[in-house]
Amino acid sequence: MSRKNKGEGTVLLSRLLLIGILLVLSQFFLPSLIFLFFALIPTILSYITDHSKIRYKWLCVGSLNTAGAMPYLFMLWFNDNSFSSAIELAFDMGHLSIMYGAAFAGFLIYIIVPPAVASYVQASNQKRLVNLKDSLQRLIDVWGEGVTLNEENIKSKKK
Amino acid sequence: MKPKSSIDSVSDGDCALLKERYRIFFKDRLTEFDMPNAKAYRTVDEKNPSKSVFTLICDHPLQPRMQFAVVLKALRHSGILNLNEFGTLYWTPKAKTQMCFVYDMPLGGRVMKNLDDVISPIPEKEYISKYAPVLVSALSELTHRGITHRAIRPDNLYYMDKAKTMIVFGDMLTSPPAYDQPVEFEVIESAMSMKEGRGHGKLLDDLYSFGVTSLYISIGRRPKINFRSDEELLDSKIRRGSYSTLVGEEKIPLSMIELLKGLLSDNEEQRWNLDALKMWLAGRRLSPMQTRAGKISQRAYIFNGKEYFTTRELASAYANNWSLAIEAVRSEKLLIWLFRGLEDKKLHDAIESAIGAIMVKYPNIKVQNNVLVAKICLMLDGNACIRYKHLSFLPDGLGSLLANAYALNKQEDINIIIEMLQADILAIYSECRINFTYKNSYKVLASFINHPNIGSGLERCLYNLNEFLPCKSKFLEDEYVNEINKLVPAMDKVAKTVDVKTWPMDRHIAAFISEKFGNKANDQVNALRSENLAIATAGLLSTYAILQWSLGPESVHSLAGWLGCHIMPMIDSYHNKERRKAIENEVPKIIKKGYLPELFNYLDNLEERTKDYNGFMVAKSEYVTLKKEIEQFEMEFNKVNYEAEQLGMQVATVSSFCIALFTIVMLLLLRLM
Repeated sequence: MSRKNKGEGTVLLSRLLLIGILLVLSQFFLPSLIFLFFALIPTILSYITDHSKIRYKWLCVGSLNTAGAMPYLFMLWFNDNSFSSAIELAFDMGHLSIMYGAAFAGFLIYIIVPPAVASYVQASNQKRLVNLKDSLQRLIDVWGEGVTLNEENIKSKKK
Repeated sequence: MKPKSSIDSVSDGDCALLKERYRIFFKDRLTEFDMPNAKAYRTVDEKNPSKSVFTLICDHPLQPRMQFAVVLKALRHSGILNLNEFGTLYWTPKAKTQMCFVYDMPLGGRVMKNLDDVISPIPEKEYISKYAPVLVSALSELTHRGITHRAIRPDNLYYMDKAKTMIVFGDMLTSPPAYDQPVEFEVIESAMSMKEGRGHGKLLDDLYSFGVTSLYISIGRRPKINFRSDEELLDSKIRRGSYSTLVGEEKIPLSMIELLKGLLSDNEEQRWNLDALKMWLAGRRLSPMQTRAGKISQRAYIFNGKEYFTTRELASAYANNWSLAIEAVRSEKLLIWLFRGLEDKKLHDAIESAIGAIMVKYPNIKVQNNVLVAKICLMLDGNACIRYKHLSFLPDGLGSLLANAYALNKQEDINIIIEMLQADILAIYSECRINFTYKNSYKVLASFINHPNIGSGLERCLYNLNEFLPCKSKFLEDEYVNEINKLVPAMDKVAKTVDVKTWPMDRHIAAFISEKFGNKANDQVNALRSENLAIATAGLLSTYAILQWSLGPESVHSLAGWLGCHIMPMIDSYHNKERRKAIENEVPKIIKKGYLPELFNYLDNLEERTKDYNGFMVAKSEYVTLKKEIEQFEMEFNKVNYEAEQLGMQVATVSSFCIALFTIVMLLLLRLM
């Protein structure tokens, strides 16, 4: 019984310690978090709407959206890392258009690149198939239809 | 060997020149010398115009006795009408090619114009001293050369001189053996046979005919024999014997009676032979016996409402009533009569065991019945010919019988001959005749019939049995190809007018080649039988090529052109299309040369064939590999598309990451700088 109480006490203590640390850290990171929340809305939306296994859409949009948000995040960190500064940076229309524009660019990459790559691969496969069929036809042209028959076909044809 | 043309003469409208010597005038008929199956024409010997000759041109589709022509041409005898020349000519009036024979002209004409002619009887002394010795000597001469005359009758005897001092035997070549002989001139066995199935016979048959001829001459007319039909006459010969039937109540010189009895004996063993005849002519008197052949039964055997007392008469009755005979031989009545009536236990037992054996050997009931009657007829009459349904013939007349059935298009006879050969009738005959040897050559007939492929079958039997028969191919109707070396030149001639689309080979030509060219063309003729058109075409070309190579001539342009129209399957049998094209371009040049062996060797070049085959096999294996690859590719096509799409996404993601990373690093660096 006593052993149980002792264990519960340790957990409670560690939780209080964690909360304490978080409160200290949040004093430093809260402006960044608030800024990132508004800056990365396209990433959050794409994460919610992407139901694929590997979530390529989220990765494409997120990576460029993050890249678009980074200059302003650096401004926040290296100048006035305050809540008001974070709000100001996040709601500036110029900043938003750059951050969301970068996200849109990521979305465009997601839309355009896969079909383009697939088309290229398909085209090269198609070409190989055509080459194979050409070789086949060349054999027929040189050796006649007989080349297409195996022994059983030849026998049945003779009959 | 220089190839011969199939025609030995040059025809020019109204006349023809045979072998550059005998000019035959088609408008000048010599009807007095006509033979039953040949027409006589005035002829001039251009090398010796003073010599009187005439020509007999065969005017029927029957087969002349060509096997004796060469020997007779070389034979010079005062008792035989001299044969000066023979050969084929294009007979302009009838527009066909026929065999002709040039004989010395008998200046005294025929001894009797026809068998109903009445002449002054030749006195016996004159006949015995002047005419008969020469004629007997002529028969002796013919016998030494292995020839039988088979046309000895008064209207085929001629006076060679105007003074009528020399009598000679007339033509014996223009018809099949004994074909024109009336029943009275033939021995019973031969008279029983159909006229086309009498065969070459033997000297004793000629001596019998000579006996009947002597009878005619000695009384100067036909003896008074009043029979309504040949069957009745034959029946009388069987029942009463030939002498009694023919001489009857005729008043003939005493010395001639002995001769006639000797020559007209129905028993071959008792019939006079040449020695006996010569002895009689030399003045030695013999006493010939006239015996009735066969045992006489005490009780009659009743068949078809008539009574029969001897087996010979009964066999004859069976043969004449075939369908009734089938029932009769299957009943016990015959065996009972043989045992109790005729009291011939040996014959009874033999027939009883023969019936059993035939029933086992021939499962087909129709054939079984026919063989049964044929064999029992042979067993009942120890000397009779083979009788099978309505056909009757002696073994050596089978060839002539078959040739005539073909020539006269007697399909029913042909069918019966096929059935007989399948049943191996000659083997059955040999079982019933001690003095008949079943030769190996007869065995092959059954084999030919049982393998009715091209080059075999009945056509092969036809040429096997008739050595000098010309090829009966529809292509050679206007030619006379009776020797193998005449075939290719004749076909070359035919090729000039034929529709080139027709296949230049038929069953007759193939059988003719197989028979005359022997084993040398076996492979080629066998190839003709192939269902594979390329092989059959190769067989066709190689058959003619080997003939040209062996027998000439050096070039056959028309035949090469004709064959050239049929060689496409051979070219197509090359797999490589470029090779085919090259061959197609080259072939016309070779065809122009007219040398078939070169054409065949070019088309069937072993090295080229091997190269083509090997290349084809490699191509086939390549084809299989490619085909599999394509199938695999097509099968995985959707999967590949999906993978490409995934790859595209990966590329997009990596690209986005790279751009983002690059941007961040650059921004960071700018900030730190």
